[in-house]
Amino acid sequence: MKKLVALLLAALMVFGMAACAANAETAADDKSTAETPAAEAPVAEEIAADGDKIVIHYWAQWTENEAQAEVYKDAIARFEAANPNCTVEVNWAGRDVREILRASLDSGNEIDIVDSGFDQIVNLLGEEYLTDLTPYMAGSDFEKSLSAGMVAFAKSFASDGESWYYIPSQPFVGTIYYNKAIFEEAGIDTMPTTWDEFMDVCQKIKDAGYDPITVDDAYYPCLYGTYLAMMKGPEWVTELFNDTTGANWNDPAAVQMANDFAEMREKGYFSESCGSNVFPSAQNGEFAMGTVAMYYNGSWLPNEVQDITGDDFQWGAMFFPAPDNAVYPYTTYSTGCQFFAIPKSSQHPQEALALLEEFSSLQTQQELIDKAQAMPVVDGLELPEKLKSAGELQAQSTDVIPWQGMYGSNSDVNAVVNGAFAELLAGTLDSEGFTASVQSQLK
Amino acid sequence: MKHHGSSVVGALRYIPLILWVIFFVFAFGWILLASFSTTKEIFSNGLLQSGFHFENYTGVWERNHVAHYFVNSVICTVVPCALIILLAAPAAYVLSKKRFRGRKQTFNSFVIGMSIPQVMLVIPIYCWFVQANLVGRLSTLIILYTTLNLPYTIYFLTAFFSTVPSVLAEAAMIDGCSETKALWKVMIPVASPGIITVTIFNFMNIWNEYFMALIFANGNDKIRTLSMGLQNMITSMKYTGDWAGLFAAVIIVLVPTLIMYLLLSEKIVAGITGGAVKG
Amino acid sequence: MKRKHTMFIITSLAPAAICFLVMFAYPLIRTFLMSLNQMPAISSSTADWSFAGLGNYIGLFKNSVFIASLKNIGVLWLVGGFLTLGIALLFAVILASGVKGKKFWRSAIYLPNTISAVALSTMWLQYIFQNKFGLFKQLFTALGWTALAKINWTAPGWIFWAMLISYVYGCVGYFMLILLSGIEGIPQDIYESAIIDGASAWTKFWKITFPLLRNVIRTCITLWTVGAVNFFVWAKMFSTRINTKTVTPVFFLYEKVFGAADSGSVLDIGAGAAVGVVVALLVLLSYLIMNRVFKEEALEY
Repeated sequence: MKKLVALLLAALMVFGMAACAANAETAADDKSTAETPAAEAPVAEEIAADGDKIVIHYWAQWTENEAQAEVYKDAIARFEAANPNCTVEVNWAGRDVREILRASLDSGNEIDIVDSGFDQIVNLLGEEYLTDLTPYMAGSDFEKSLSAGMVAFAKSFASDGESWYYIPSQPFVGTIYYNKAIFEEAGIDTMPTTWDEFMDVCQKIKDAGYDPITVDDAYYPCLYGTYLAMMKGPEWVTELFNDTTGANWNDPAAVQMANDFAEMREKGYFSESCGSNVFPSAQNGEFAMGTVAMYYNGSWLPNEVQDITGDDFQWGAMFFPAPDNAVYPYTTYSTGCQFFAIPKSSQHPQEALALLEEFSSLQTQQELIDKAQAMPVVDGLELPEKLKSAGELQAQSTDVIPWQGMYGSNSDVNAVVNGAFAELLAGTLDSEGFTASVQSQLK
Repeated sequence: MKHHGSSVVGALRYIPLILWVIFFVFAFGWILLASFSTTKEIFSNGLLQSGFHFENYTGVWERNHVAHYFVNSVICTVVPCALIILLAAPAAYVLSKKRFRGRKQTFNSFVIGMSIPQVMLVIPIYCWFVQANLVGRLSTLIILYTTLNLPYTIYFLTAFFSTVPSVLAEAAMIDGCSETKALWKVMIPVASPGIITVTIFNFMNIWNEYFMALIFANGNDKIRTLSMGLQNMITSMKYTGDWAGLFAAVIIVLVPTLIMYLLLSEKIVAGITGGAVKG
Repeated sequence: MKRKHTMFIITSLAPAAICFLVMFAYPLIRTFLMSLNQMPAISSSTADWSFAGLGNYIGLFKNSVFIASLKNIGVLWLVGGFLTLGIALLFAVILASGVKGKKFWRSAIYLPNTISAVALSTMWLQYIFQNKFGLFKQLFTALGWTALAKINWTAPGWIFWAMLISYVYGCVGYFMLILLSGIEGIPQDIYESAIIDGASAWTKFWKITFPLLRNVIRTCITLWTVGAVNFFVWAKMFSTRINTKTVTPVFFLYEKVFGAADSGSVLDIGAGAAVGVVVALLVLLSYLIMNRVFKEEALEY
């Protein structure tokens, strides 16, 4: 529980970081940028002088089709130039890397760096599999170069709350992203704060001839998880999604959640295909194509769809409205971060960490902003144009919850709830049917 | 002998065939066109509105190791197919032509082996390969594909050898051949129709194999077979919203298989039929 | 000479037998033992195992996702089996009836089977079933079949059937080939005597072809059963996340043992092994039933 509290505190500070980026004035006096060139410094003198090159194996969650790979390739070239005794071999494994990470480590693959979403790195690998990098961090300026919010966030996942097991790679803001052009056309000038106002906004969009909101199967938990977390807090949601008896689905909050989404479905606020969108069908075919106004997602979204939206898409980010009787105010967003980590089995943790330092350097971070629309892990950089709105939202926020409103869940419970939620969105189950279905399958 | 109705029936029976084929042509044709369009055109249902985009293909080819996947698939299919025969043919020959203690039991174990689902075997095998540090190597797939297809091949070839007269081998041995020589020089060539049939059968099974490749060879571009490579490309296209590239990847992977099939369809059909029916 | 002969037998048989013992016999036993134990990781040595008795099995049968997976393959086996074998038999009978261009049709119908399931399922999922520009949507709209056109094939109520349809499509060619060669194996003179008797094509099929195909159909059912029990690729391609609509036992096993497609997965090797045993038992059961059914029928004739 202590860990969870720490996470919240840390996450709150993440917003501080982005606020700096959004308002250039605060950034200027807060931290000098002089400390960052340290990232370029050559690594470790103790490297063997026998001419053997040290090979660093990086298993990336990106593939070479993605902009991130392009940026990291440049960073690797700089790293290799600065450290002639190191070569980096990258396995551009893609997102599916998470399915094989543990098994690959168990089977003794040489892996020096892995990356994936924070939940996967922490839950699948955790301290059992990862090197404690604290001693290596102590000797470098790496920690100082990262934004304070990122440092706190990464450390909060360590069991002692202060060790370095996880290196932040890309933080994100989870909230409702919207198409400003559609909002303008529908004549919406004030953003909804309550559920009722949200319903009004949806109606206006519908009247303007657009579908108000859509969702892909992969992101169902963003809707129900965020809703429930705002009602009862993330701890309660985490408990709910780890309880295989399904007893708490009778709770008024869960019932209200099912009712509200069922009502949205009945009123036609969800796009027709909501219950049947297989990722990324809604993201690409509906939201990016401009037929749907809103989509709950992370701030990686503009990058993922940029081939479809082009540059003239007007990106907006808005808070998830506060449901009736919510404990969290509407000024809450969800957050998380992609993490790098260095497995215990790595023979060259110091060199691997030096590469990660290059990945976090001002130059690499700037390139990630420019090419991959990423949020930076360092202070003092301006957010990419398409994420300005998400940055402003962070600056206005008062509260943070974890991505999907929970800290991990049981996959069997997920399987059941996702199936029932899809039926709720498809209209084949009403809200009572949803609750009954979840409870009868879990019991 | 033909009464009136049968000419109508005679024409009608083409309908299911034509529908089935048209369906494939349509689906495949659409994907082909989509692979030359832009993603936006695909989603707005206006294929090729801005002309042909060959860059979908060059993009897929340049950013993914498609050639690598092909080579891997060829290696992982051809080598096991050869090894299987090398191991199975002598065993099948002995099982069909020689009388010795335990023959029946040995043969029956292979028959049982044929019917064991692979999921029942995969966990311990994986555990071993982990300990032997063999996961994530091409040789792993070669070992797996070879051994897992042995029981069926032995079963098939045993039946086949029993149709080949023993006198041929006996004559060769009278001429001074050793038994080993008689097997490889006389019996195996005589049995080659059966060997070809079962090899085609094995080839088709291994070429598109998915489960083992997913577990044992999915980590790394260097070892991905075509199925895995395609899946990896598809996953990554989902995260870049590159639908045109996704369909281009599907076509790139499909076309060589289709060409192979068009050239060899008679042999393949015969192989599949022979392989399956005897089983 | 005798010794040489024995040596020949041993050297011929040994490599295959060793492969068999190592890759079949031992893993079979070990999986069974694992299913009775709990272990922290897949590579844990037996020393780290803790005996769980039937606990893994009891856990499985209390797990609604696993139960859903059994239900799914049950329906897939039955409905998909009827569809696949029915369509395959129809094609086989048509092709055997002396159509023009038989070789072409035969190759064309088998064609989808040569395509990797990954590519084929992508074609179905991303195009044919797509709910905006998909082939089904457009085709049924054009035909004016509004009820069919309205179906969202990837919606929870339909995705299982969508998966089943596409799997059937990918299987028909294979079974068509087997049935066709079976039909062609029936001696022509049996038909000739029937023609003299003036039997119609329909009667000929049910009175002569079908009964004589009994063994081939039995082979087909066996092959279909093994395929259905091991059903995996399509399930994986049709599910972004593991869910009760499309899960199958092998998918469930993959998730438990290797898994983590979902960040919430807790790896459970013992449960995975138990799934393997259950799947093997299902195959065994189907063999027994098949033997029973087909033997009894054989007595009737």
